[in-house]
Amino acid sequence: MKVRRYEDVKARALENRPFLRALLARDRLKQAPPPDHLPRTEEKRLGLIVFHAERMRRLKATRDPETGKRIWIYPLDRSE
Amino acid sequence: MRSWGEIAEVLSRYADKTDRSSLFLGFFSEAYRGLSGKNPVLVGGGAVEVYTHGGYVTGDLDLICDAAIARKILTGWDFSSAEFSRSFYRPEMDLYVELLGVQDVNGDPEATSRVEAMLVGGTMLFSIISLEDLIIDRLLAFVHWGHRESALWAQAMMKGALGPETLLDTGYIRRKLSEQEDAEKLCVAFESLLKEVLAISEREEEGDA
Repeated sequence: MKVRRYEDVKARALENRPFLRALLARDRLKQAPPPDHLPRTEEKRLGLIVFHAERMRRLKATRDPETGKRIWIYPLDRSE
Repeated sequence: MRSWGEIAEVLSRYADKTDRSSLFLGFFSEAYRGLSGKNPVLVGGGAVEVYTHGGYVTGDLDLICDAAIARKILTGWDFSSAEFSRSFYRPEMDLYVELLGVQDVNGDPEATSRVEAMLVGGTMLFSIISLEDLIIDRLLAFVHWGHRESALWAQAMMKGALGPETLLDTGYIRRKLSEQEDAEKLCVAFESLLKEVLAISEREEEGDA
């Protein structure tokens, strides 16, 4: 059975500590919101639902007379 | 089959990314139908993007289709891909296609049978996951993974379809959620999100009065 000396393990851990700290810091940075980030308020969330629902209403729907299935009509905005 | 040059010429007339993606799906479906007699089905974030007319923006178009047939079409149109990959792309047109292979929509044969058609520019057609099944898909992401954004998009689609002319089959959504393993959790989440959407509509009506 391989036996490890506590002192050796501890020395190795101390040696690796800056690296582990850097990894943790990087993860925290990744998870953190951007500096100019404002938390989304309840009011804003409801506003977004209304806004995107309005966009969606540009799509009209009809039914296929044979299958009864819905057909959506996607409007195209030509840029020229 | 149309040449990529012909397709690119049409796509380049549209500045909006979702317009281009929708037209591309029409052209791709036309080519795919020509080879297989079947339609690929748009699912996932790409479907949310189309239903919300570009409100939601995703980087990719997830297609349920036979990967070998789709690969033949896309390589014929000079889409790039890694040899092992199911992803094909043309960066200059913002097109990124992910081939999911042949499978049921939401892993459910009933959802496959409810697939709907999207008519683009009056002539081009492609198949898309039904609005109800897409809302179910977003609800699953919200409840299972705690993905709050998915709840917002489910609510935006509910609200968009619950106008004066109701386009949403809430009975179907309730039935499908009740068949899931964690039905209770899902049903509670759906009713709570729907209630909030209906409350917004009531507030809008009060504002109009």
